[in-house]
Amino acid sequence: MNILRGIAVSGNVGIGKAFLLTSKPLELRRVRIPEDNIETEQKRLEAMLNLTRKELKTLQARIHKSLGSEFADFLEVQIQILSDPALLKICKRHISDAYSAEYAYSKAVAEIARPLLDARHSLFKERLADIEDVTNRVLRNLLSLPSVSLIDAPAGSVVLAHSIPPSEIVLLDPKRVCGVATEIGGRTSHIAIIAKALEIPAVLGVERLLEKLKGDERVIVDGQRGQVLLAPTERRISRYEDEIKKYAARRESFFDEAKQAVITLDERKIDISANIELTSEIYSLKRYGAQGVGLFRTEYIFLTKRRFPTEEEQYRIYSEAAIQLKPHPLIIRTLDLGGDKVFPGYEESNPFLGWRAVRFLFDNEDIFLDQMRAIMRASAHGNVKIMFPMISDVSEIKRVRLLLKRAQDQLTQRRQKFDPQMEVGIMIEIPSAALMADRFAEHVDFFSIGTNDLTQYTLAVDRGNEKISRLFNHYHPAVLQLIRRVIGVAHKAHIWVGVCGEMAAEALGVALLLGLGVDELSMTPCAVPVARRIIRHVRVDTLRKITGRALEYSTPVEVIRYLRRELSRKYPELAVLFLERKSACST
Amino acid sequence: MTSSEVIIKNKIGLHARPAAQFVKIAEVFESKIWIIKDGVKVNGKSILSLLTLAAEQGSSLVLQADGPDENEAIQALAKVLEEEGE
Repeated sequence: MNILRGIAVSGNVGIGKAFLLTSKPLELRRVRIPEDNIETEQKRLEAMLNLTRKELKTLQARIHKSLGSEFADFLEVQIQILSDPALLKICKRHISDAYSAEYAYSKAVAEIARPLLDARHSLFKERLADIEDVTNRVLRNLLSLPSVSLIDAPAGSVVLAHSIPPSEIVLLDPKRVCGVATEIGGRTSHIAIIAKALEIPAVLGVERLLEKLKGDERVIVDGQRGQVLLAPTERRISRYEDEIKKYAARRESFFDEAKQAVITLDERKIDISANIELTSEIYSLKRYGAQGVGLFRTEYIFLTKRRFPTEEEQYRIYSEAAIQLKPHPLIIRTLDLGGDKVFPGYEESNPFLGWRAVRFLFDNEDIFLDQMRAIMRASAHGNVKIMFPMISDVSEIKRVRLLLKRAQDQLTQRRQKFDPQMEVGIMIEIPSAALMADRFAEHVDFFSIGTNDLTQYTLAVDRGNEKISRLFNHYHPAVLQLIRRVIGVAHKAHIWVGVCGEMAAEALGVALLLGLGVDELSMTPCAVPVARRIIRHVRVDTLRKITGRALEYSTPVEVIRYLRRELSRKYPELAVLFLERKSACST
Repeated sequence: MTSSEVIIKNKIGLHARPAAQFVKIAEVFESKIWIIKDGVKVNGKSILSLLTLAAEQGSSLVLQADGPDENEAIQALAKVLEEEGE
């Protein structure tokens, strides 16, 4: 047995048989052919290009049907490469010089694509993946190598690869693939996003994965702990199988839970929403029992496309989501990226305190207005609300309002429909905004408290920094006081308050936030069932008393200890949930 | 031979989708098509060559066409390059 570590990206645990997807570039030797064969060699190349074109067209039609045009379009470039006249000219010349078609083709591609290697803009470099993808396809056909494709993955496969090429990612089928592990790729890679949306367990960035692999062994992908187990022992397998069974049973009971109304024993109605980044997640959030979307992150649309999506592209995505969720709300957060993610080469010593989110968008008004118009147009199709992150100063919300007005005027001029009453809210995640919440309240329709950033900025702790991450704790009384203050001020101003940080995905956090008077909770879809169960078994007035006392403590450890004890005593049937301070997804 | 100077208006430059669209339209014409950027001249019907130009928004290009339908070609293709994207 071999245990490898990587980045835990999605899902629970998958056990299956290794399905190796080789996507490393083929290494070709320089092969000479007899002069007499030159003509047949040219014809062979043509035939294989035609075959490859047919393959890609079939693939394109298939993807178009299963995932939509958004995913099928990129293949157009690959198909055009097959009939690229400049490429074919060079290639034919090499064959005329008595080189084999394989060698001629790969040499020609390398020659013509060379300038892309030092393209200044990473967008263009990204195209190298497409070029490599299609070139490998042609070469495999020329060499009559069986091309391994995810189409052929049998049921119960764990897909292992160096990286998964673009034309293959779209073929991932959760019915047949029970796990994915790759050597490269991170949390925001294309494969990570698709695996998450399809709820396939995935671990990425596993170094030397293929080297350690024998080929046909069983593999366990643990998407919770970020581990890949090659040829696991029977004992391991049965332990993991138990875990999967428990998980499945729990999910079943969760889906039952999803049918119940979300109302507390003292009849407070709480809105339960989900945080998502892809429209394809809407299906799973409904099954988990979330009503709407409390946080639709738009960064991923940018990160997968590696460029700013156009107004039309965004409008299509947002309106599709709005229609699917109707009449429940879809709260879209405007782009929350830092300049460092947008402009390759641009660096800051303090990105979290830097040029990001609205600060970046104010300096790029075209991008901001594109997004505003796209969101507004989607509001004609459902219950859409817009939300702005990283607001620290009242002048910023005033400026946002002016821009929104301008976007409205543009749409009116274009005679495009939108909901003029669309709610406008801000994230409360910077201490200055929390402290001044009363001044912000008059300009917005709602607040959404982002507990992750609020904690990070209040405690001055970068939780990505392992040396100090233990200091990151959203149960810190300072953070809780800010939350209490924001909710109090908002209710006085008659606006509603939601929480969309990880705190809302923890059992203890849910109880605490209910006690503080929150109106809406938004969390990762898999945490919804636990939140629903808690809501249905508690009284808000009881929780108010408990949280009131909790806030008198001085350290997060004391707060947690007190809450656990009191809540477990008061609600013994929920004690199991309260005693485990983890995301409700894994309990 | 006809030529025309154009500035790329598309936000993402002559990137995947716009480049693919350019080639699709260029292929319709019988004339030979070239694009010149910073002294580099490439075949306008070659997707790979277009991509290697790495022409970003604001780049200035010269479009050239030579053949029986050169005027129509220049007109149609200049329009593609000057489109702001959808």
